[in-house]
Amino acid sequence: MKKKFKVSTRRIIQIISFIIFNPYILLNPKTGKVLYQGKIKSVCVPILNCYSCPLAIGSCPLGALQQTIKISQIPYLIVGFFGTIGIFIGRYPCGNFCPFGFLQELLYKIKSFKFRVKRPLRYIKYFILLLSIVVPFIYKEPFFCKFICPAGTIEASLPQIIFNPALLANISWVFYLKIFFGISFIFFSITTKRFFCSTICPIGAIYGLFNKISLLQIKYDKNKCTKCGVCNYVCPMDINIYENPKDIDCIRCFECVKKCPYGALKVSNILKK
Amino acid sequence: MKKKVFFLILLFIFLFLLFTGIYFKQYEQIYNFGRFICFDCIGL
Repeated sequence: MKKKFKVSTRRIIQIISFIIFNPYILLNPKTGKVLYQGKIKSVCVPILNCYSCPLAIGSCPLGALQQTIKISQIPYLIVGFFGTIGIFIGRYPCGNFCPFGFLQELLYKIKSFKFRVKRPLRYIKYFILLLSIVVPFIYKEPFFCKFICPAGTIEASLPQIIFNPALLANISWVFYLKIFFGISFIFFSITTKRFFCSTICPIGAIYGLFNKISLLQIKYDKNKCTKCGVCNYVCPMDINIYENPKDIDCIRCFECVKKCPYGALKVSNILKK
Repeated sequence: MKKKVFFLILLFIFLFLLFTGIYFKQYEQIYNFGRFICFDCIGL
């Protein structure tokens, strides 16, 4: 019997988000410019999306945060931006809008050996977030963009070097370090559910802090739950939502709500009793 | 009620920060960061 191919609404939202945040060369293949320089670059996108990507039309909020700290200014706009989104929807952008998360979910579909991320490793992202704030302030270097960001490597470094090979003359050891992180990212994305989101991503770390207090919540009914494990099986972040519906790693994709056979989980808001 | 008040206070704080950033025209800086190739991002 033929297997029915079905695309979920979340997948469609992820594809549309990718196109909305990254339409530049797709829409303008004949301009010859490999970087959008229009006014939309003044606006941050709510997800990790390198602003040096030839496709990007918006700015990366983490890059903007680090660059603002680097020039010794208080990043009011970025903090307000993260906070306003976080207070309403928590990590929802990670699960539904982020093209990098989408890429990881696609990579995880490749058949290979799989392993899980241990709980303590999930807190590494807070250490990286701390470094992403402290290092630009003290050493005037955008730590995450410069030394780690695999989004920068995959979305910006490689395409920019392909379009402009003259850049190769200026590469330093940092480039090779970033290539190493890029390859590691691909490897771990194949073997582990959203490895980057759960252990490294500082944007996910920021939004994760809001999961506890955001308007958008998941409500768990322990009387209906049998702990069958379906929620964990379908969860792109590999968490047990019944242990903590406000988990910092819940990306509010609501796969567990849709798939729970007992209806123990439902979408709610924090103001509801 | 407590949750509602807490939520509204936080919302007010973050909106205040957002509009403070807009008042100081920080969006212009963000534009300047993003309009050229970021050599830090591409590892050069």
